[in-house]
Amino acid sequence: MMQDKIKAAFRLNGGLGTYLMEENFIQYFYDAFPDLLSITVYGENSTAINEGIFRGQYFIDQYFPRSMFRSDGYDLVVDINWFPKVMKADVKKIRAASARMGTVVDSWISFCNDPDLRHLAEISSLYDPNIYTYAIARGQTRLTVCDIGGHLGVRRDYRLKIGINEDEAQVLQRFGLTSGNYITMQQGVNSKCRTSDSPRQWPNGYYGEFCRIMKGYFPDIVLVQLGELDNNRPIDGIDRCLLGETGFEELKVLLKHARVHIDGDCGMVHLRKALHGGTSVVLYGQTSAQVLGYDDDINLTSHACKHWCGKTFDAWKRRCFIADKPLCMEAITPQHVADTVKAHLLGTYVEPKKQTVLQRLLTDPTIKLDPEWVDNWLGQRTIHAYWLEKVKIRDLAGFKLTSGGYVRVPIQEMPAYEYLLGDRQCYVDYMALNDQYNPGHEHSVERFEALIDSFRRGLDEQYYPAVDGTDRILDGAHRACWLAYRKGLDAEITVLKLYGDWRL
Amino acid sequence: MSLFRRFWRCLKENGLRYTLVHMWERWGRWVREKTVMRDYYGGVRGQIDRFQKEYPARPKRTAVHMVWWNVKALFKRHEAPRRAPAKRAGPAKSAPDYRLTLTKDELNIGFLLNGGLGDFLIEANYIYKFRERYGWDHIRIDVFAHNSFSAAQSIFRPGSVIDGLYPEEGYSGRFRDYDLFIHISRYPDVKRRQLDRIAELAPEIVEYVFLCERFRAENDRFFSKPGITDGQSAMLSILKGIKRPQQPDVYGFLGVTERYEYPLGIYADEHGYLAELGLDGRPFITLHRGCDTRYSENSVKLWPVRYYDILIRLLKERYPELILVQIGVSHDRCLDMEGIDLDLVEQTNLEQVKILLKHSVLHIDGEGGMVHLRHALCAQPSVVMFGPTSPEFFGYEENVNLRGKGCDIWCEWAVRGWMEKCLRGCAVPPCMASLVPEHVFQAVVKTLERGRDR
Repeated sequence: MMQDKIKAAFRLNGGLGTYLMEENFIQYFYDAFPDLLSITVYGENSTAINEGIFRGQYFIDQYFPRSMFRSDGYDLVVDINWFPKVMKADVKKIRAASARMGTVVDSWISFCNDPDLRHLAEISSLYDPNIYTYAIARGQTRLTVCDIGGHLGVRRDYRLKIGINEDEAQVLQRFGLTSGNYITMQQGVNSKCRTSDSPRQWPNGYYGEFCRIMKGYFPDIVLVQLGELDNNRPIDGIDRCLLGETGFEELKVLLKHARVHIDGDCGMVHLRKALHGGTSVVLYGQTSAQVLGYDDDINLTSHACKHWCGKTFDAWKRRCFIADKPLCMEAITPQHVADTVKAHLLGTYVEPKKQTVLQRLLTDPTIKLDPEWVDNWLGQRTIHAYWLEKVKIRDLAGFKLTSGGYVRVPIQEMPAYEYLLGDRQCYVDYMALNDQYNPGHEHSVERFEALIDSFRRGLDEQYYPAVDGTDRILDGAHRACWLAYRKGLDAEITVLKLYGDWRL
Repeated sequence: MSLFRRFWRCLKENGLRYTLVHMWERWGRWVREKTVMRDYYGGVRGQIDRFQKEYPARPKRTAVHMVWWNVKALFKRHEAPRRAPAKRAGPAKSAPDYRLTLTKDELNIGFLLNGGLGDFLIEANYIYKFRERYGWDHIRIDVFAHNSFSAAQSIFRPGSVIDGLYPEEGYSGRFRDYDLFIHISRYPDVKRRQLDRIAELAPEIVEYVFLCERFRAENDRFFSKPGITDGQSAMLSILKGIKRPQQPDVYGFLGVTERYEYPLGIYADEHGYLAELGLDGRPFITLHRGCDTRYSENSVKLWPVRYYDILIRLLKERYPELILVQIGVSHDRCLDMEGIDLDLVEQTNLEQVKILLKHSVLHIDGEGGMVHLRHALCAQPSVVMFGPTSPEFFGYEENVNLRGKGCDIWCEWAVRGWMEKCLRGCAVPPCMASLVPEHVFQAVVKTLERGRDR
C-alpha cells in the first residue's frame, strides 16, 4: 500500500526577494524527501507574482494567496521568514514517514523553543539586526541561515530556478533588446518603503553620472531603467526608461538577459539570481552584503559608516540615522561603479578574495607541511595565527601516550629521543602501547629507522616542527628529537608556531 | 477586530475544531481573569498609579474609580498571590536599614540603576552630569540599586552627588513617592513624573523629561525589549560615534563625554595598603580574568587562561622587575594564572581593588567592570582583550583595545546566553582565541615603553 504523503503548508513572509529565498529553502526540504511530501505554499497576495514564482515548480503541489491561509488539514504547518517556525506538526506521523524528516522538523521546533534563540524565529523585523549578526558570526547568508542544524545542506547560491511564462524572444523583441547588449538598473527600492528617496537607494544623480560615464566606455550598450512608477525617478541619460511599463513576466525576461544589472539591495537582485541570470552589481549601504549578497555578484559597500544600520531603528527606510543624506550610499561614487561594471564586462574584474589564515599557511611558499598531517588534522582545524620562531629545543614538549592517556612530557622524555640515545626497547614498548590504544596507527620502528636514514641524508630546511602556543609539538616530533640528538638540547631551532581552535 | 471577525478568521484559517478549542480556552481565561483576584494589594497600588497618571489633578475622580474597583473586588474570589521565585541571597539583604526622607520643599528624584560595577560607574557619571546641569537647590536625588548593592555602596556616597542610596528590594513600593523617577539600564526611562511639581521646583527639568520621552517614543524597542536589543543600541551608538559612557545621555543633552567626571573616591588608606602588600613605590601590573557574577569562569568574554600564562611568561622574561598581581573576586570565577607574583584573588574588597587599579602601571583584562573602574579612577592605560563586545563602543581612548580576527563581528546580545556560550558553537570562542598572547605582549610592551618615555 502506498504511504500517505506528509501534507506540508508553508506560509511565506516578506517581500519578493524574501519569498524567493524561502521558496529555495522549501525546494531543499522537498528534495530531501521527494516522495514523502505534498507541499502547499501560501505566498504573495498578488496572483501575478505567485504565478511568476511558483508556477511549474515540481516541489509545489498547490499555491494560494497568503490571505487564504488555513492550517487545518495539514500534517506540518510552517510560518517561514528567516527561520522555519513550526505552527503545527503531527510529529508522530512525520517520524513514521521518515525518521530523518522527524529529525529535521524536531530541529526546527527545538530552535523555536530554545530560550536563547527563539526570538530569531519570530515573524517580526524587530530582531532582524540580531539575525544579521547571528548569520555573519556563523559565516552564513540569508539563503543558508534558515537551514537549522545544516540538515538540508542549503548552499549559498540558488538551487531554485524560476521559470518564465512568456516567450523570451518575443519579449526582448517587444522592447527592442534582441541583441542582448543592454544593462538594466533600478533606482528605487520597494514600494513598501513609501518613499522615492529611501536611504537604501543610490542617489538619482549618481545614476545619471554613471550613465554618462558608461556611454563613454560603451557607446553601443543600451541602458535600461526598470522599476515601478510610484517609487522610482527617471534617470537622466538612460536610453530606455521602462518605469511602469513591464509586467512581472517581462521584467523577468529583461532581468535574465541583461549583461549586468545594477541595483541597491532589492528584490530584483534576488529575482535575477533565482532566474540564474548572471552577475549584478549591488550597492549596499544600510544592509549587510555579508548576509544578503551573493558570492557571484559584485557587492559594493562603501564602509563610510562604521556599521550597517538596517532595521535597527523604526525610521530606517525613510531616513539616514546620522546625516541628512545617506553617507553610506553617497560614498559609492559613479566612477567606481562604472569602472567596476566596465571591468566586469571586459572580463578583467577580480573579486578581492579573503583568505583564511589556514589558506595562507597552506599556500605559504616558505613553509612545507607534512601532507598526511594536513589531511588528517590541520586541514580540519581553524587556524588563528602562525609564524616561525626560534626556540631552545629543551623548551619543547610532546604528547606521550601512557596507559593512563596522553600526557605532556619534555622532549628528552619522548620515546623517539630515547631511541636515538640508544634505548631501542623504549621505542619498541611505546609502539606496543600504541598498538594497544591506537590500532592502525602509522608509526613503527622500521618507519622511524627509515626516517632517520632520510634525516642523515639531509633535512629539508622548510619542514619545521609545528608547535602550539605552549611549545608543545603538534607535528614533527621525530624531526625535533633528531635535531635534539644532533644539536643538543640547548641548541635553538626554528619551529612553526600555531594557534588554533584547540584548547591549550 | 471584533469578536465575530476574529472567530471567522480563525475558523477560516484553522478549521472548526481548532477554533472551538481555542475559543473555549480564551473564554476560560477571560472568566478566570474576571472572577479571581490574585494580589489585591498589588492591584490597589497599580490602580492608584494608573489613575494618578491619568487624572493627576482630579483625585475625586480617582476616588470614584477606586470605589467601583473595590466594589468589584468584593465579589471576586481572592487567591494568594503567586510567590516570586526565591531571590538570591544578595547584598541587598545586608544593606543598611535606610529610610526615605522626602520633603515637600524639594523636587524628589529617584534613579533606579541596573547592571554590574561597570554599569554603575557609567550611571554615576551620568547622574553627576545631571546634577551638574540642574544644581543642588531644591533637588534631592536618591539612587536605588537593582542588584550588587555592595558595588553601588563603593561608588555612591550619599551627601556628595546624591542624597540617598538604597537597594531596590523592599523599596520598590516607594518609587511612586518621587516627583520624578527614572530607571536607567542603557537609557533613562521615565517611570513617573509629576510635571506640576517639576514645573514648580525645577522647571528646566521639564525639557529633560520630554526629551527622554521623545527618545523612548522613537526607540521603543530598547525599552520594551531590553537586553535582547542592547546589541542594536550599541550598533546605533557606534554609528554616531558614541561610546558606552555617553549612551544614557540621549540626544547628547547633558554633554556626557568619555571623560569620567564623577568624583569617585577611595575610602581606604592607599599607601598603607600598598605597603602592606610590598607594592608601595614598586612598579606592578594588575591582571584580571573574570566577569559578571552570573557567568562562569568560561564566559565567552574571557580570554583563555592559558593565554594569560603565556603572556605572563613573556612578561617575566622581558620585565623581571615588574610585579605581576592577579586580582579577582573568587578562585571559582577567576582561574589561577601560572607565574603570577602576587595572587590577590578572593583577598581584596572593592576599596582595595580600587587602590591596586589606581596605582598599577598597567592593567590587563577582558572588557568589563575593572576596566571601567580604572578609567574612572585614573584614566591610566589598560590593555583590554575584546571578543563578543565592541571595542568601538566599550573601548576607552587611553587603553589599548585589542580584538582578534577570528570572528567577523562582535555578537553581544545577538542571542540570549551570548555570554555563556559562543553562538558559533565553538568550545573556544574564536574571537578570543584568535587574539594570541604574543600579539597582546607586543601591545603591552608598546604601552609600557610609551609610559616610560613620558
